[in-house]
Amino acid sequence: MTLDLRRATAGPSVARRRSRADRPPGLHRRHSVIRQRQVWGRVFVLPALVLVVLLIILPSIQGLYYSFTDWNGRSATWVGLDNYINGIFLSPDFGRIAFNSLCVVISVPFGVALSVIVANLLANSTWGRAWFRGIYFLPIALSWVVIGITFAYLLSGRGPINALLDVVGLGLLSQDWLGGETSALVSIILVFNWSYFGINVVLLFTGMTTADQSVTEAARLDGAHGVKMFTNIVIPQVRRYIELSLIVTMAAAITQIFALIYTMTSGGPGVATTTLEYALYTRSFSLGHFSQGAAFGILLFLVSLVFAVVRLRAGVKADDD
Amino acid sequence: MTFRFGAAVAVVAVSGLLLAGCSSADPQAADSGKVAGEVTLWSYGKVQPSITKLIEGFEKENAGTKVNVIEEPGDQYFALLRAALTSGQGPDIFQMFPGGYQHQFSDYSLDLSDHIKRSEFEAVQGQFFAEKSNLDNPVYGVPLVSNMYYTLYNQDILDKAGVTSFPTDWAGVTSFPTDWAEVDDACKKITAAGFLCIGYGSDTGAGGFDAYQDFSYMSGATVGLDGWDGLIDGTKKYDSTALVSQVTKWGELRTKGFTNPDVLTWRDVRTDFLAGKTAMYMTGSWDASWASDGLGTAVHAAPTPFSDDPMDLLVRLQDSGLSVSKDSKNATTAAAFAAYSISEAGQKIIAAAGGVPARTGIESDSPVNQEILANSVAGDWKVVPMMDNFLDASVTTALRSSLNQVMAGQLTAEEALKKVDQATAAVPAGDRVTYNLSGK
Repeated sequence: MTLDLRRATAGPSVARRRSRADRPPGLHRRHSVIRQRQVWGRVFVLPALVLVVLLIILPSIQGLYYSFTDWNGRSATWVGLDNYINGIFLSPDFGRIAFNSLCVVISVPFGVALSVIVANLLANSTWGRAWFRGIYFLPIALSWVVIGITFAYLLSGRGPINALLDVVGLGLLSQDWLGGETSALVSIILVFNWSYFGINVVLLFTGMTTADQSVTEAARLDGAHGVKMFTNIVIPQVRRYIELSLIVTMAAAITQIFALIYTMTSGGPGVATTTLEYALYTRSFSLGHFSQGAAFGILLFLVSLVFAVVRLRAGVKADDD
Repeated sequence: MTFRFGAAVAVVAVSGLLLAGCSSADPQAADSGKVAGEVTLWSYGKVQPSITKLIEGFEKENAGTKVNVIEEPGDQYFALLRAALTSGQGPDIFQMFPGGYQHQFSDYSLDLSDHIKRSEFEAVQGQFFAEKSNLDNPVYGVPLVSNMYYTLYNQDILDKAGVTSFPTDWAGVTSFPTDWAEVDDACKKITAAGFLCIGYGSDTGAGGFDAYQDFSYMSGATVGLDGWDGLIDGTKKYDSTALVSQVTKWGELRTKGFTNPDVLTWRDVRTDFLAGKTAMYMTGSWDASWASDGLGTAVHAAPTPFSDDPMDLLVRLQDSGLSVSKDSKNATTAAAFAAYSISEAGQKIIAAAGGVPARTGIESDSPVNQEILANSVAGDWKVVPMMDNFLDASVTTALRSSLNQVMAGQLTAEEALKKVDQATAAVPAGDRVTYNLSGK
């Protein structure tokens, strides 16, 4: 028997031309089901899409527009870049505000690095692991306001931390932590990183305990241990988790530190602890300059975007390498 | 198919509900547009006893009306109020202060001249709630009281410290310092006796204190109302030699040990004053009842003595008033409450509760307030308004935080006042208001 290849290849073209009615009933039903699923999928996505457009996209566009106007909450007049130039960049406090924001963001890698070390210690020891994990995770269960009020009390000039310093003979170090320009900023940064320490430890711990153990074992057999094992084997294995921690914590440092500042220092002394995010609030609601607040919001968005893109591109580059 | 149809209906219905929720429409409220008898009042901080009594009187006189009070924290009051009014969710009535504060909210405030007779505004000197301080223009609020900034003294501490030698002739009081030299002398004796001379701090432990009260006295005594007009409109500078000198002396109070060291964060200023541990506390007439309740007849009030020459000013202004929201669904009742609050009946209620009535001819029941008012008449003190009321919000903020930093030793007086000059220069032309406080 000779195989006629031409006929064989001609077959499908005939099949493609087959009318709907000629299609096998099973295939027809499958197409119908796929189509229906697509339609229903769109129907179910629609409410979320509408909400995203109404609550995120439209207000963002509106905010961008208002940042180019003089808007008092009721009426708006076009002022071009005035809110950006005079309201932000030429404002005498802008340098300090930008510096404060930068300090908070720069502190994040150090906070995450500490989380990596502690997560590694937890992953390599079995004693009290669950207990410590619970303790480290505890701050994430507390609201920013509770954390802020608690630390404002602990760090007050006549608070427990100074009392403790006096008791242990370090009274010389005691000071009005939230009343000094430098000490207040350092306090805010430490409390912020403490707040995120727990969730980062748990995240990285999960990454370490779910990593491929055979790689670690092989490295161990090859003689790797201690710092070398940690830097060359453990960290590359949990690199994705570290990136996630960095992105999440940096995003929080840029856009979620408001409540902490509000409850601990109200942005002071002067503007010593005012960040871009807090300035957005004070410009809008304390001073009533909504348009300058909108301009700060756009600036904040751009800063977040730059950090996220830089971080993600670094991750992609590491993947390529 | 029936199930799918049902699911689709459910999805559409849930979306509809969500969107309806977003618009927060209340058909009853939206449709009413009539007087329903109930209005909401936002109080600046904890509601004053005088306002509570005023509401009782109004509700009694106008059966079927109800005024619901919501207490908003003082340090965030204006921010919260602005957010609420901008979103159309504000109260019907809100506590408001004259001058610049009122000016910021005039877009949201009802013109009360359509609801209250001009003679009633005149009786309470309500011009500072009117556009350009002129009752011929729209009037956006009414003053409840005539408030004063002053220093409260604990006479028992002054006596124990031996502060009795100042040559004052104020009726009923003999030993209050009246200028910097006397402050130095008194505070030395008070601290030597183991008391704190002057307490500064913040109830919440953050945000510092209202230093513009002190500045009203310092600048009022130094540059007067003429000078204030120039400072407000930017034609005169804050960092002048005269003002720098006063603010420097003021900042030295802390370095000399006359104040607590943690001036920006100390939470117990008020409790320590009532506990008899602090001799002086910078506040105002709204705290007279609070102080009398705690210290009885030992508490007295006097003008804050931050001056090179004996202080002969009293900082006093028709103050702490009420405005009605333009968006009020019950504007008639809200305006009726505002009218009642400045009527003779309403003002007598305020006087009986210890406030200093805005209406002339009605005396306060507070012995502390009445005493200082009597002294001001006897001593022929000059009355000047509260300076911060006439500054742009950004300037008030800069003044407050910069002076706080001077007192905390973080800025020199010159640096601080330069910052205030910068803030004044940055006020947009459209936001500048001329009050002409000197009347020239």
